[in-house]
Amino acid sequence: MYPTSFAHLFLRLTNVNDKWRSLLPNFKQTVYKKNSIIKETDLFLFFFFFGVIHTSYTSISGVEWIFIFQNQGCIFNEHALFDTPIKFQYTANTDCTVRKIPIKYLQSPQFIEEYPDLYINFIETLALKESISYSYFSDLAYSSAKSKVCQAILALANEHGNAMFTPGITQAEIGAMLGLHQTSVARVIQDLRQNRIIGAFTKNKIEIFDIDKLRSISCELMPEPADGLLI
Amino acid sequence: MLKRYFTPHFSQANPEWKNFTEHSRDIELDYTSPYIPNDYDLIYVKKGYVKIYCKTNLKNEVFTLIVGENSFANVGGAITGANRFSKIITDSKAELRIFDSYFFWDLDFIKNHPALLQGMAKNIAKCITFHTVRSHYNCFYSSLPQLCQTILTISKEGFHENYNHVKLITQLDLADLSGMHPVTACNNLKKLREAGIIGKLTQQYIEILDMQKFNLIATGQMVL
Repeated sequence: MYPTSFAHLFLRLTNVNDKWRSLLPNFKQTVYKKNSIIKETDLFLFFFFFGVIHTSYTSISGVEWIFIFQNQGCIFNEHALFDTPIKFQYTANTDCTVRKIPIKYLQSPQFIEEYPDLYINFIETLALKESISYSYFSDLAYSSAKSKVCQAILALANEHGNAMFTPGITQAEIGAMLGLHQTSVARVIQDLRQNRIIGAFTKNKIEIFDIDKLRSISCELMPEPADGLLI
Repeated sequence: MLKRYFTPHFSQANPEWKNFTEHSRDIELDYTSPYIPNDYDLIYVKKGYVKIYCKTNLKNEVFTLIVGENSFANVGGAITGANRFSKIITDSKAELRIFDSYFFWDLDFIKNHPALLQGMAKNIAKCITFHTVRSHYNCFYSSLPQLCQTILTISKEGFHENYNHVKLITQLDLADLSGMHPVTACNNLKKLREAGIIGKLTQQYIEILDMQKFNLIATGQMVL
């Protein structure tokens, strides 16, 4: 589950909080329709029972960034337990079923005393998400568009442990995660296919032919600025 | 005109850990001796401030974070066992408390110290916020707002005797902290200067002549 040497990009999490299932019968279940926005984020931590959601952050100027996708078996909205200045938005990509755990309950010392193993898992999940947010900065900041797309494909391959898999994410969604226009993503994918580095690339199927080459391109730095002098 | 003095990204973030000394050792750091952390080192800054250099997939190390007094530097990294830090340095003197993070998985410790655990979790949430905003800027904004946002994040108006001010920030540091090439940072500072938005930039502070415009640029609502 965790990166081994240092931060790695993860695009999607699944079943990282399965331990919480034992707690759930105590809490209310809610169903959200596809494309709806999860509400009451000031009041609840959510356990995701079924479906797919994505977490996004929208800046003051209205630019939305998809941070991560989550499948079943994950908690989300951990930030609501703390007084942090930014708000994430959670959108259902499919019809979704969630259980709602009151934040006040989780904030009480009694919860930690009663369920120390769940609190460990809670902190581990936060740590994993921190690692992901760091890797967005450290690995994408200096990358070219081609390198960013290769990193995303490697992240998906890492998640599936296979050279041929169903990514469940569209090219447009990958663009929204990497800050790239869909056309730029499509152009890079076309180039990778022409060079026989990857084969099919659809929401249902990705084929990787040359993972070493993919890794090598993923480490390409953005070109340095052409002019200018250090003062 | 405002003088904004450079400050750490985080300061006084975990005062609840100040007097907790179990499973730890204290070390003193000065500008001649960087600390190279192990994967499961959980690092707490007791005194002073430290500059943290991290490993990335693309570069050997990048100056990423400044952490001030009574704050954890790396809860996320220590918990995942994937410490990203390549080195920790300071410009003057600092004291670190290095915890062996294995104690974190001790259920009795957790039951007996809920407030410490909540402090840890809060620290990670803060770091996620910080990295998210910075990554968002890197992905979606041009270099000028990125740089302005970095300056706002690591500076505060006015000098306060008792505050944890940073003594040495260079243009190269500003570039690293913003995730851009030093030449790009330099060109952007020049643009801001020529537009009359900033004045003098020293190693301790930056003069901002037009804060309103500076804020608008930092939030992507104005371009130069």
